[in-house]
Amino acid sequence: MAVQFGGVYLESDEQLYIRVRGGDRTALAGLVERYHGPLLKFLARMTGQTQSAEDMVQDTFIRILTCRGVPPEHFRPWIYQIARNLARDYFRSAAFRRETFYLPDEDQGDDWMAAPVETESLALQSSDCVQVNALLQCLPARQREVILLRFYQEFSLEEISTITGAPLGTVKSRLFHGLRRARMILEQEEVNQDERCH
Amino acid sequence: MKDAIDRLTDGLDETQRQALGDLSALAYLLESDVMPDPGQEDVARLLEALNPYLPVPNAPRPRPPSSWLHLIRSQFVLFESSFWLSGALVLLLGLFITTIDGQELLPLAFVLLSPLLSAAGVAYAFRPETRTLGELERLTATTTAELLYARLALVLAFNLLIALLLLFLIWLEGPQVLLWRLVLAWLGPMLALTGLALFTTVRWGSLVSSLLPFGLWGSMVLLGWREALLHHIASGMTATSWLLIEISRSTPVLIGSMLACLAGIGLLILSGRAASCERQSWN
Repeated sequence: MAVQFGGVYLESDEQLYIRVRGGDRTALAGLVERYHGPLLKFLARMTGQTQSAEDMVQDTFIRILTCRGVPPEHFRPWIYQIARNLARDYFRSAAFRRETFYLPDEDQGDDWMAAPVETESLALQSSDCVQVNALLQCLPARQREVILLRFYQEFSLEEISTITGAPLGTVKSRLFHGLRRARMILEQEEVNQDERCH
Repeated sequence: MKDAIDRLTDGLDETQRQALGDLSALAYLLESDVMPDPGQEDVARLLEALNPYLPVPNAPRPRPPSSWLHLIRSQFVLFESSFWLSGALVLLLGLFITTIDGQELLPLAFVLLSPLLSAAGVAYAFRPETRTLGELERLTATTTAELLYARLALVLAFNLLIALLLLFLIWLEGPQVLLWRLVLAWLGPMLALTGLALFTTVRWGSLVSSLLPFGLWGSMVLLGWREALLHHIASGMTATSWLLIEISRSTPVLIGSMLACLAGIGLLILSGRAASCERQSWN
């Protein structure tokens, strides 16, 4: 389905992707223009590492270019699913474990999560952006990804369920617990700041 | 701010929303995080890195003539002796007719039987037994359409050979017919019936491809014979003579043959396209 934008009909992501599969460079440029920024922001917030996020964005596009399966019915959730899986692989990678002193014993089954940042460190962050990043890194990755996909990428909970492969009820639960935890961290931070002032 | 909070909690139950309390500080903080979009240089760098992975367009590569011969030869094994024998039988029938009454019957038999032989050849070449291993075939460099045309070339070449031999016999007998018109009267139905047989085989299988062209041609022959029976007495000729003269001299027959030629070629092209898209194939 073509999308109307500013009175001009644009090709849908799915149409562009089919052209990309046919070797069309212009279509690839169109997809990159649409998804480079959003994916980079999602992965940077997800991992807290801009450089790694850039590598993962490139890997995401390489995966869609080398995919030989049936083209997806809905492109946007699909590309985020790939990006999210790459982020999961990153958290499981040896490089990440080395950087964060991640121990295999900390892995609770399949519950991959980034090593939480100490909440005290939030106070040391000067700008809001860095503070948001620190706050997000305090959350378990599964809760973080749901909040990011919901708040910044504006996916519905059903779409997030598709992207993450988790049941809708689980997605709701992760969103709820993630938000509650984030709120508690912020409140704790305010208390800490007050104590430091006195 | 309300929008930002709604964006966070949209989809949660009312009890969950209440349990979360006031999220305005969190929503404010998250909204304040505005990351810059990648610059043009970053986009260009990414595109450059992706270029080697861009799929190569599926441009059709022309197959060299030697390769076509190789492919046709590989299809040779599919034609069992019955196929060659049936062609030889038609030729023998032609020779037999020549000995009885070559002047009239042979050209008529040639025009009536040759198209049927081609259509039967197509139905035989694409019979169900030859349609297996489609999945494997789709992985090979040879496309389904190429196989289709290779096999069709074998059928047509064999029929052309028989037709030329029969035409030679007709030429030896020297009846009162214009040879080029006779060729056209044969070529038109032959191409049309072959095209129809091939197209129906590709689309609906060999049963339809056997029934439809044969039924169509049979009806035309019957109608032609009926006309011959109605008119031959008035013209003072035998029915076969009248029919032969009609075939070789009538303008409507000439135009009809030319149109049949075009329709046949069109159907052959359509068959190739349909074969490229279909799930089954010919090994």
